[in-house]
Amino acid sequence: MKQNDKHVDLTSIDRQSKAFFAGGEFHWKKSEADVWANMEAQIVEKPKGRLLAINFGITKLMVAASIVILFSLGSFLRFYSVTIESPAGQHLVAMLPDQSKVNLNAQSSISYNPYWWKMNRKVKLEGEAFFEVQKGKKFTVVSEKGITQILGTSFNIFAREEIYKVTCITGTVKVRSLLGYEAIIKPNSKAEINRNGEIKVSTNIETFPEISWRKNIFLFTATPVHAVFTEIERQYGVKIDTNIKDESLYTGNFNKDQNVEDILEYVCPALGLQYVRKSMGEYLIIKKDE
Amino acid sequence: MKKEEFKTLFNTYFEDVRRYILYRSGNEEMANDIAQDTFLRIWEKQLMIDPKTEKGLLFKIAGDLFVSQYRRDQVAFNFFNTFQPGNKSTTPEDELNFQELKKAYEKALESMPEKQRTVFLMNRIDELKYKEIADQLELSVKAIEKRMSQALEHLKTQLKDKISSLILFLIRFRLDRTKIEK
Repeated sequence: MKQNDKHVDLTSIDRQSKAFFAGGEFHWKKSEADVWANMEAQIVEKPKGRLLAINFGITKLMVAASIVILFSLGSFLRFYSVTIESPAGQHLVAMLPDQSKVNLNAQSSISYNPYWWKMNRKVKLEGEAFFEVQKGKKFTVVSEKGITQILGTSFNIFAREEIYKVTCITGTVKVRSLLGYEAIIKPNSKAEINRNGEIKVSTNIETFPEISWRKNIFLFTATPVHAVFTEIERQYGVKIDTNIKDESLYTGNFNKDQNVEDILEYVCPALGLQYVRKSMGEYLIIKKDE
Repeated sequence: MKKEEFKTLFNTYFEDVRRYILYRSGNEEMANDIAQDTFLRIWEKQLMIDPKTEKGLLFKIAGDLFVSQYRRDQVAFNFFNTFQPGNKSTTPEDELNFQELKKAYEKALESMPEKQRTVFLMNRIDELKYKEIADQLELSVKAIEKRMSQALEHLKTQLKDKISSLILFLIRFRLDRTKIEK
């Protein structure tokens, strides 16, 4: 009976509420058109690029992000470089990732991309170095004045200031100047790039003077005086002022086992010069009769 | 989405969305704001909408906005400021009864749990069938039935002492009202 009461009550409230709500009306203070007008001011048709980016959705954004990360990682591996530099007064031996060996003369540096090495064996050189290259893919040495390509060989490159010369000891070496001249040299040959970017090849040369620096022996054959003193500066890490305008050439040799003053003592008289020690590691070269 | 397409979407659903939030909040300003925000959101995100589910999606966005907004500020419930029930009173006495009844309903609706109220008003005012409400709110018909009966139960307790005047008043109504479908 009670259950029935409840049922009756619910039915009546159902009917009553239906009657109460039916036929009612909404009286909005703002009409739909008002709201649209308000909104229209806020919506601007967006440029296509923006739309595309947003339509990508999260998955595509993640893909894009991954690509960016991979690309950055790739660039890092590609462009990350190592530089090895030997200061004045020191020689260094550098090992490249494939066990190719580089003997760096004083005041010389090489740089390369260790993580890109397998793809491209490429070394940038400033100064002078002797290379012993492991057999394998093309090996390239780039300097300001020229490019040298090797398959697997040993050779010396001198690339300082205006001078670029390559001496081949074993194997085959290709030298290219920045102007596009090319020369292929065999052992006991030397290729030199001159001021015009042309390559001069000398065959059947005595290679020892070119690579004697590795044995700490310095040979000069008709070398301009200033170049001799520059080499001494480089090898001993000292400073030598030459305020002489001497164009004469020097032929002779010295051994790095001797100290710098012994060398100057030895070189100067032959040129009619003498040296004055200004301070530790600093010398002045003057004419002997002054 | 082009502006014209957007305007079509707006014109088709704006009133539905705004009424839905009014049922949930009982506050006209909030209903306006949330309905507008819902459409702006669609525009800004340039969501690609499947016409089959667009109404459900709009209701979903509006509902989510309402929940996050509602938590921030409690707004006044004054449903009958916006919705005016048809008043057929012809005598001052009827008018008095009607006003009293309206007040009682306002109170009862305010205290009614939001979920029940929404379903109840969609059924009473929009005259939607349970199946249609279920589709729109992504609920089962069973859930709608349950909410409806809970809502009526609630009204019954809330309007208990008004029941007699209610019956008296509504008796006139019922005569000229065609049967309203469930």
